[in-house]
Amino acid sequence: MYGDGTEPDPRFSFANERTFLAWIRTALALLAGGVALDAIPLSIPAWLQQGLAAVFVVLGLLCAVASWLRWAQAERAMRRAEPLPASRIGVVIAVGVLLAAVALLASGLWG
Amino acid sequence: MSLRDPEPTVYNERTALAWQRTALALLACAAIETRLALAPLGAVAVVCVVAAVPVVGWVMLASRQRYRVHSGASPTGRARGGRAPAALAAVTVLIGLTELAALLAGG
Repeated sequence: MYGDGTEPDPRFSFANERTFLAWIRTALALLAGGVALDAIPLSIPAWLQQGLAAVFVVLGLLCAVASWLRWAQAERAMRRAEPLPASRIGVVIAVGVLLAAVALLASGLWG
Repeated sequence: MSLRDPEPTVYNERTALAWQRTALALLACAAIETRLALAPLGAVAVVCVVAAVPVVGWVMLASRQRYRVHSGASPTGRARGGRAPAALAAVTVLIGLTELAALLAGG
């Protein structure tokens, strides 16, 4: 990748790296949420608790992989002076977290 | 007196700090995951910390070196590379897979 195109403004590469690192920290936070759901006993069915934990862990995995792909695609686009790629991982994570939160809330209220 | 644009220095410093705090967060997550996954997985759970420690150490040293190169304090050395992002993402995935394995083993 670094042999392709021309060297972009370092500030843009720095910004791309900081964005990637922010996504990695988001992935770690999602993993931490899954670990917490697994480790802390809650007054909800065990199958639901483990299922929600798995949802958060999978979201964290997707976030980590997508962040690295996005970083590489953005770096390549900058070097080729092409438009930056769109990223849909944010929508996926937002929907996933929302659904998990609704399930957790519903189980706590009516479980 | 001419005013130098402070932005290049600021961007360089902010990026180095971002690398370092992400590496430290990764190490903390790996340690916690190892601790919690020891019961369901046994000694296999140690793989998280074993993988995280050298990656975190390398990222901390590499970010400092990159900062020095971009700030002009160090005349030589490779300024940028793509291995650090891949390594951080890989260790994060490893932590996630370890937790999934612990969920399956504990369930």
